[in-house]
Amino acid sequence: MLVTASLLGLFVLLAFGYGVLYGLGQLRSGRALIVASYASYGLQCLVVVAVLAFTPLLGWWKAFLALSCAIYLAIPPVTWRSLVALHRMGRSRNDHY
Amino acid sequence: MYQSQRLALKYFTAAIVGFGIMVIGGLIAATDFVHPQFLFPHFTFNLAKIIHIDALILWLLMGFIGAIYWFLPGELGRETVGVKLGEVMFWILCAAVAVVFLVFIFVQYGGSDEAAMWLVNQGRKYVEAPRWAAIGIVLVMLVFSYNIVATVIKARRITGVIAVMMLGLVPLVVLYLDAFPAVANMSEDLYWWWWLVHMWVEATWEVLIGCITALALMQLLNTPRRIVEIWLYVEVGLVLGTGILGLGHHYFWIGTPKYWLAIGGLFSAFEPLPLLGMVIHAVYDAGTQHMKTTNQPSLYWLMAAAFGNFIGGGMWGFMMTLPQINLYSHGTQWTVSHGHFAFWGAYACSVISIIYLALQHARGAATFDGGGWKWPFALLNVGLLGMVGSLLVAGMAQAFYERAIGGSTLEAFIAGQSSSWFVEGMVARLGFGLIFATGYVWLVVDLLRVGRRKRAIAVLAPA
Repeated sequence: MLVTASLLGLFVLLAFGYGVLYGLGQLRSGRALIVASYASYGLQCLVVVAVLAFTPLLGWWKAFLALSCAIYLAIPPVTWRSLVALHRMGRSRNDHY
Repeated sequence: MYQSQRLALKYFTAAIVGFGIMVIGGLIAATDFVHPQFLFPHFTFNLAKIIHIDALILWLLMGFIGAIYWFLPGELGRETVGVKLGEVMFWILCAAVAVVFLVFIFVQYGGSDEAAMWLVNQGRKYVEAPRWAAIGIVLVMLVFSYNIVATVIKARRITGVIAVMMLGLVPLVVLYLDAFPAVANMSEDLYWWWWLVHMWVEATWEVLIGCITALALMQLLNTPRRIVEIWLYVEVGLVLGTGILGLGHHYFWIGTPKYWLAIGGLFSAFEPLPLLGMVIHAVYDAGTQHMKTTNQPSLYWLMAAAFGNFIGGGMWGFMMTLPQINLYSHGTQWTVSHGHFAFWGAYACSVISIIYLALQHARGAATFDGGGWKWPFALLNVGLLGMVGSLLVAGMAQAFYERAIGGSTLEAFIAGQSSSWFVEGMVARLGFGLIFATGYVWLVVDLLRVGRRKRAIAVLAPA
């Protein structure tokens, strides 16, 4: 129970690392940060593998976790692109006025 | 300055006083775990816990109300309608809260009758206030809602943020009606009671703080309104989408049908997703401004909110939200750890940020960039992190020894409470609680002093 809970906590923490490092990497155009962000996501995937292999969670919770791990991959890039597009739109509107 | 903003400052003052009462209640409760005879029988653990939790709800609520009274006139370009009535209600609320706390401290308990429910304690966790005071709170919230709606009507103007805020006010008032016990069956009673507790904290409060943060971002980082509003719609939509049915994680073990296990687990597991979006948004906003603003403490507290909300709500919550784990962790210090972290990240940091923002304008300071805020910022956050870490260790020990190994018997309860992990966790929590309390005192000093000196120099300079 404690191992499962710790793995789930680690899963979310690594998602946080992925998001923050990705954001900082984009801001500073830092290749190393982007690589680090994907490394964090890679570790997140490893945590999911550990959950699938070693924890007593029911099958459909494991499947759900694997699915949500796939969704996490998309969140930082999609959010970032939307933010940039939104700010560009906001700026061009301000320029117009 | 608008009258509404003067009223907001009063609400902020009351909020900070409430924050202090919460800290005192928490310190007494924490000491009780280390020295069970502390203040017994005059001031018991139960009483300290009631004061700690009720003060928490009240100070945050007062912070929200203050923030809305602060931003509303600027947003709609006119004075808030009914601000005098709002002022009367503020004093009534303060007086009622003072009376209720005095009754809690000096009367403490009544009999199992109607009179005790009306005059002493309604007996419902988090909303213990006696019925007369609960009715008073509904009245205050109604007047507050009226003031906002009437201001919008009178101004003949509405913005996206205010529209979302008005929508959030409806469940805020309606759900509070669940504070009045009406059902004798305990499962049924808890079923409805969770609507109040969960839907306030993980739905309507989220909406309100989302709106308040949106208004703050426009002032703090000059973020264009259009961007702030689109993000508000997206984030509030996602938070509500995952948060409303996340209610199910409170229904696991109270006698509700089994399907709540799946619903609660599933939607709770989705809850970190929008929070991750918020973190990336915070990184973007702060990064594009290079963390430069005229109000450093406000920006740092807002960043602490974004990160604390994700880690405290998302990570700590996800560790224990799936039913197979929650079976063991529910109601242990593990839950307490999550509660402390999530409330701090989601709400407390935001309210402190708004108070700094309001003070800058109220004191006419061009910038708030001195270093005085850094110590309270560090002490409060280190204290909080230490507390939640200690509680997590103690809670995991409790879940393991008492629930998983011992099977939740009385003997197992004693074994769990006596385990060295639990005992040392409680000692560490008290230590970090003292650091947190020091940070609170320093915060009060900083809030009293920040911006005043610069203004005095500015006033003297022309002479």
